[in-house]
Amino acid sequence: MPESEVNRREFVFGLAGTAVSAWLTTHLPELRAAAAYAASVAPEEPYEFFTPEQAREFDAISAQIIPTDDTPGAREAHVVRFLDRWNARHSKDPQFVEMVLNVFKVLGDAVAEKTPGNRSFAALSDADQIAFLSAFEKANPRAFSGFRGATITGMFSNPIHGGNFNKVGWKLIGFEDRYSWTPPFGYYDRV
Amino acid sequence: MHRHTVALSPLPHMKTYRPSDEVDFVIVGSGAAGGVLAHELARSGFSVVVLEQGPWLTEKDFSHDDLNNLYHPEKSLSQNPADQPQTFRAKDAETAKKGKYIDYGRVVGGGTVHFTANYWRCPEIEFEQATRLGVPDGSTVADWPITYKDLEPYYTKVDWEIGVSGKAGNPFEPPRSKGYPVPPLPIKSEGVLCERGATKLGWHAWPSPMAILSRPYRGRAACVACGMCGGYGCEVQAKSSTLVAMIPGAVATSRCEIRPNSYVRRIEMGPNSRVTGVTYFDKDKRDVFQRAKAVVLSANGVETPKLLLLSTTGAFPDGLANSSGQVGRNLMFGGYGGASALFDHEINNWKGANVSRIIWDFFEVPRELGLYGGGGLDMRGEGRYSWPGEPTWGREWKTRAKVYFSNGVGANAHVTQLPVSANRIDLDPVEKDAWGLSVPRITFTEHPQDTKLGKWFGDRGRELLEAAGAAKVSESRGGSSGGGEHLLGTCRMGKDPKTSVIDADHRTHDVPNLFIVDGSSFVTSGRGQPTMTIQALAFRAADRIAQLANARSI
Repeated sequence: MPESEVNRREFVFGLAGTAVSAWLTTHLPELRAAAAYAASVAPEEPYEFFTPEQAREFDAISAQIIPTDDTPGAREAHVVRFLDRWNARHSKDPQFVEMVLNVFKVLGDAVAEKTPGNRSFAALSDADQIAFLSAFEKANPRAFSGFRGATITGMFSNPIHGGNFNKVGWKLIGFEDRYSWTPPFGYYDRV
Repeated sequence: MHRHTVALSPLPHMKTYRPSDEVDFVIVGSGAAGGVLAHELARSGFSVVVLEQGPWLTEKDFSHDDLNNLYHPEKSLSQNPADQPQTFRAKDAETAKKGKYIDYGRVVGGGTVHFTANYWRCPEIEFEQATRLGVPDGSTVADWPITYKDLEPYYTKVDWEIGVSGKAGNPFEPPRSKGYPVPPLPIKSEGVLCERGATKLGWHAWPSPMAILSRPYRGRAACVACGMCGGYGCEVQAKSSTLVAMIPGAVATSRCEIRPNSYVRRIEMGPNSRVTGVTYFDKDKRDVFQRAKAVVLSANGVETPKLLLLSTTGAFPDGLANSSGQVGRNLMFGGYGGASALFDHEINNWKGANVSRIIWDFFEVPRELGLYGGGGLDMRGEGRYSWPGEPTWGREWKTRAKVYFSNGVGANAHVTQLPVSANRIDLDPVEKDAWGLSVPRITFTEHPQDTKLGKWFGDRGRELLEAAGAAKVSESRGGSSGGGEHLLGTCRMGKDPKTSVIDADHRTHDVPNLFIVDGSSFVTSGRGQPTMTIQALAFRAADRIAQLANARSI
């Protein structure tokens, strides 16, 4: 969909996340049976799609994109579980799998260039991770937006898909899933 | 030919027909136009079968789940681009690339199930633009064969039959014969800001006409301001989709069958250049031939021409009803211009319907500016995840995430987009959909006048946001690269069979018992939101078609 059309859309959630994520949007389809999945999966359960290394890498990168400070971040939202589940649903699509593997390869190559002998983003110190990501965002915007889009989608999409655990994403942005409101809706129609 | 299985209807006592029954009308598509035609023709006493590509969902199937609404194979409200992609190229010389470029409702009720429900009438000038403004070089602007006056009673019918909320008296609205059945929806924060900006600039903000009920009406509930309109099905029947406003009444006649999961692939021709029915894939991809005395295509501005182009015969080697060569041409999506802003306080776009105030001062843009056409503006909240030039991740981003999400507003202009002959739908020579049908190929490059117009409106949007007191305003944006939900112009209406596909009665010039009523009927793009006009055309077409049928002249 052309960019202007994306901008025009008024979907409230997730879409903004999916729109920036080539990773997710170019490979649509099914998300069935995701319901209640990650919410029920204890963190120590094995991953369906990710290797432990990939999970560690994505955990580290998503935790820098939405860090944990005095409020929960991507880690507490189970963003890794969300993406693992999403990827597993699409694991029969060789093009999709190739794209995911390629994004990790681009990341690993970039890390290795910075720290010869090491391909792991997660192995970098906190300060080095931040410095690396800042450069990576500029040098590899497509790969970066894949990671960021996946993180945002996992953080803010409906919790039934495994992310946004305990609605921590929604709490961050002030969204309440009451779905029934009366005016005033915001500041300017109140004053 | 396989045995026909009857789909279970969510409505009680639906009349069903066998494919071998020669019904009076088969309607292809159950959306904005098809739903209206089903209702009107069945109530006029005709037997009707409506064939809908998608499933028949109801409120219990709708959810506030963004990802499911987009991607769920059974509950998605739009076509799935994995099964039904399109290809796109800007110019004929390019090879078209596969992707998702358009979005259409693929459920009973069509796009009216998930639309935002802005219901704008076209101003009078839209119908006589060639005469009044001339025809820009490189465009195919023409007068419509009908005027606003012809359509006005049917616009009013849409207000009252479909259920539109609003306030009469907008000085820029064309004359209306009757007010709205229900008052406007409550004003939202972005509506207050729209009024504030407009007042400062000497423009006129007005309550937005919306096909969403502000009060209970005809047994349907009022909007509960859940905030999930665009992209979602309404769970309380307040959004006036044809699913809830038209289909139940059509079925209640005991003359109309809605047949979901029925993907029409060919219009069948008999002797004497007459249609005998249509062949469709049922849920299990089996071929079914439904006989009919006449066929109405309301499949949308892309699927309708696609179907005609797929239905070639010896007499119509270039596609059915295409002796003019105009089927698929003059494709329009509607022009656009706008800008975004962040305000100091929360807007909370996620509560309430998407739009509460519109500005229609610019339906006729001053000619001395060298612009052609016009349009209207709205302001709506934008749930954003970043702001240009600010961090897109990390600690600093996180402190701003709530502001991006809650305090964003866009000013959006919906404007003229000129018809251009080379902008068109045809059949992709290579790509097939999951049923083995050629996919639609879009060829589209915006006319240079439209780029100028979009930019001008984008600057007005910026001006409006600044006047409203925005803390940050984006660069203006304008123009269209092609694509979207508004699929218009591809089987244009006209008096001359050499330059148009249908006449003013929506009958194809070439085939006496084949009619087309949907966005493809548009001669020009409109100056804003098209669904209201699609439905006014549908109510009018139903009257005309019923008269022709009763006079035995179909």
